[in-house]
Amino acid sequence: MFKLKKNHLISFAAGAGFLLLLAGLIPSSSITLIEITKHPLIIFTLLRREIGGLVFYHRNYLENEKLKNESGLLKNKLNQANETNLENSRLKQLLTFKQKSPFKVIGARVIGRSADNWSASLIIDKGRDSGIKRGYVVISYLGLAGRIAEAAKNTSKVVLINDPNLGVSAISQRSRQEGLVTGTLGNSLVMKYLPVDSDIALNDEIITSGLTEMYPKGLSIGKVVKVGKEFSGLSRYAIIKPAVNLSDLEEVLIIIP
Amino acid sequence: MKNRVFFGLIIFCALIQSVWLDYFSIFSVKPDLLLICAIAAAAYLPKRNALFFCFLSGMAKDILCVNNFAANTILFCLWGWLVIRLSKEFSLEDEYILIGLVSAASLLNNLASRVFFFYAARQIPAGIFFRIMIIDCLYTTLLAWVVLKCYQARPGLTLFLKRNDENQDT
Repeated sequence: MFKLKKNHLISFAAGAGFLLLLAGLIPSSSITLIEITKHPLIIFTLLRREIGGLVFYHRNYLENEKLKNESGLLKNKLNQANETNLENSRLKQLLTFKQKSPFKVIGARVIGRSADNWSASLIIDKGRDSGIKRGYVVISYLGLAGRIAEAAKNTSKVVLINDPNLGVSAISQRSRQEGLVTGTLGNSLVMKYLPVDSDIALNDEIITSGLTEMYPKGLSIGKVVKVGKEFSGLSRYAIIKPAVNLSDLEEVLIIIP
Repeated sequence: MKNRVFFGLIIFCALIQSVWLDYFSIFSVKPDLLLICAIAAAAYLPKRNALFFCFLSGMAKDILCVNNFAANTILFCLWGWLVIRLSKEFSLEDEYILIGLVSAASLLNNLASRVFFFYAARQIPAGIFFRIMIIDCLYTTLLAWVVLKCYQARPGLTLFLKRNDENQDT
């Protein structure tokens, strides 16, 4: 059916070879090209927000009422946490422990998402000019969100924690059981390499262990919703519901070490 | 004029795919608008223009992804070239043939992406891969069918494109 002429093959091979060369020798070309899309993406994101606000008015109204009630409760908890924190500082000084310095953060807006289905990533509107570099950790107010994969001059790409190629060393806050949390390209995470006799239970809070480079210890990752055994029977896994709603992120914070 | 329309359409689809399509995702899978643009360009435009627009669609998708750069650019050009070769064997006027081409391109694109992942040492578990591949293929095919129906329901647009075709033939 197809008559593959030699000329066609040669021209296609030349074209493909050129593109591969381009991809191999000039990796920063994708980083440079994303700069062109920054302002169109910002405009489209703003439009989306406005239209979303109109379409989901009733849902937003109910959520607003619910959040107002929750904020009162959280203010009380915050006061208690502040008291505990002050007591902690005093006790640490007494025991001459080294104080953990709080990390510096930069806020950024999400202006786009990955155009394909094979990676969970965001595009944000801050880049190298704001001090962001590849590998920096990205969080939100609720917990860990991801990591900077590429940093251009004024935009960056963030790989989210539900990407299967991003692994974070984590522990259960209750039992201190260690494991590795990876993504499923969906709404849940998987904590793997748990021993068969590991102490992990439903509703356990999972936090970062601090063993993975650049991830501060204690960042909330999520809660355990299911525990199961691997097919081999040699280890267990836990399904985790992320603390951060990864499909609805609009602002993020980047930790500057 | 047709080229300008396609150019604007590809840029628009790239921005839509990155910003708005998440609202319409099924099991976190969204359809591939840019692939539909590439196949449509290959089916309706002259060879050189079609390959350029396939290249542009692939490039737009690569810019907005974190995967291997140029993977989609090469693949979209390849699918465009294959559609052009097929168009010389038989007519692509029938809507079912076009839908079938989009479906096949989506399936092959996902399978070929897996090869690129091996090259880049990116591991995606088999269960997740098949889930995304099947939903992506079905959703993209469905969207292509909807887009084609909308295109056919606009007689003014059809006449405009046919007139341009006749001008280019003469």
